[in-house]
Amino acid sequence: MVDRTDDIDAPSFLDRRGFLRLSGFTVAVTAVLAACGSDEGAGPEGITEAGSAPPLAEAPSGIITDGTLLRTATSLHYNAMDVIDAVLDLGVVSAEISAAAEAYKVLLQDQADALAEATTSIDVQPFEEKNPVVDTRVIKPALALLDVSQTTGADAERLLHAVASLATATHQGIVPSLSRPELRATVMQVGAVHARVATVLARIISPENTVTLEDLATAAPEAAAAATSTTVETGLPSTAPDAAPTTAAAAAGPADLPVYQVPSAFGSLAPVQIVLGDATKVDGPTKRTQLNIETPSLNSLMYDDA
Amino acid sequence: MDTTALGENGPASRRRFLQAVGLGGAISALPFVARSAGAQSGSSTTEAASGSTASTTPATTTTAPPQRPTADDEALLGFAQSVELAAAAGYDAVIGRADELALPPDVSPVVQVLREHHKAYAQSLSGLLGRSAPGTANAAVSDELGGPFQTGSLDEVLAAAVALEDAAVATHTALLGELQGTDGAALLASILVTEARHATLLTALSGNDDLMPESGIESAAAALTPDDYPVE
Repeated sequence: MVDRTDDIDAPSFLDRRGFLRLSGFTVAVTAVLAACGSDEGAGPEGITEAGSAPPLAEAPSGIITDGTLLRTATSLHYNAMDVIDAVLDLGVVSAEISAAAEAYKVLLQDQADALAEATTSIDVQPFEEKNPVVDTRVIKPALALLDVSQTTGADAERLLHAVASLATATHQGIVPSLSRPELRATVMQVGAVHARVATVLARIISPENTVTLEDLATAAPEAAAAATSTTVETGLPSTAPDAAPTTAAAAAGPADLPVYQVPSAFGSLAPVQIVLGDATKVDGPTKRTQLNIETPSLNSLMYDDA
Repeated sequence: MDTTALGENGPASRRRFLQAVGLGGAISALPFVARSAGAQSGSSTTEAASGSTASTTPATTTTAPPQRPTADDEALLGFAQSVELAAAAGYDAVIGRADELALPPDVSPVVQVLREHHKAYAQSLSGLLGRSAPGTANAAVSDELGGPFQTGSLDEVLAAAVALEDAAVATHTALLGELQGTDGAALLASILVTEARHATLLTALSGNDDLMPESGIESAAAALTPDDYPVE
């Protein structure tokens, strides 16, 4: 083998070995100096911009604690009371629904107080006002659609039912996220009452819809087969022998969704669905549409540090 | 010529070069190691709900609850299952007496569906508990609350059904306060909200128009306990 280094006529510090040694040393020294240096004078704190911009909102921690969940549950009760006030102010619901809503409002305040007390018991500041995100993204749009509806009375009753159903699902849904068993019990002592109220409202709205056809088909296939022969104009099956057409059946837009007193075997965590809006519109923001109301989640939780 | 011979001579060897680079790298990494250590010097709070970890000022550390049922949970959930099977047996008896009771058309489908619901609850608890599920109806509960299902009139049957559903709601609510595992808690929560609906519907079917709850807080006073109603 030929030693080619013999042919290279270069200074010793510029040979390959020397070059690599020098670069390694440079990298190490640069890294040390960069790590030890301060940021002072490194550049402007912010980027220069034209015009004015609102200050950036500080994001919440995103940590979901027992306190966060209790505060969120509490806030939802104030949203529900808000809806009841709005619906009763319209004066469009039946006397029976009106009485139930008035009674529900009293229960809601009791529940909000109980949840606030539970929040205080774990040394967290309770949140005793309506949930601003739910208000902005759910309640206000729903009330706006209710305002332009041709069937305001029926829609308002269903909105109240939707609120009770949402409260039920919310409480059920937060149970496995709570770390303290005693808080789970407290939350479901509230959730169970919401479920009862939802059943009461469903019975007033649709007394014939006791159980769903799917449940009946499982329990008694023959009875279910007989029930399917009776359909309402929405095209959806009903267990009622003489179900009346729904009020919005002839209108444009999606059909009203049936409400049931016992809607499923297990409590559902699926979004609560309701149809609201102007049935004469075929397009635009106020057209009759189906809303899917979800239980509070990451963007609508009332964090402890908020 | 063997080029490796060069590497073994003098300070410019490859070995020495690698040693120098390694030393340089170690020195340059020191600030980062120090910074990481500083970040961990505060307490770490692990939140039960999200499982996320974040550096925070408070020194408290909470432990996430178990997901699966603990040994104590299994006994409690087994008791819950025995109550559900007692309820299903009660509705079974009513369906067996359908002709005798002349079940009205609005009551008959409800009774059949409710029986299936309670069976589904028991099956779900079996799925959670596996071999430790008792799989038998609670005889003491049947004796205490199920009498009218066997021999009562329609009105008595409906009243007993309301009492049984209310007792189940109270029982599961009370059990929630004792269960450690979140799977069992979530299942009982999903069961009890529907049983609250059962009770309200049955109250309506029994002719009572006063359906609104009297309190915003469900009472657990009527809860059945494993001590009073042991699973056999």
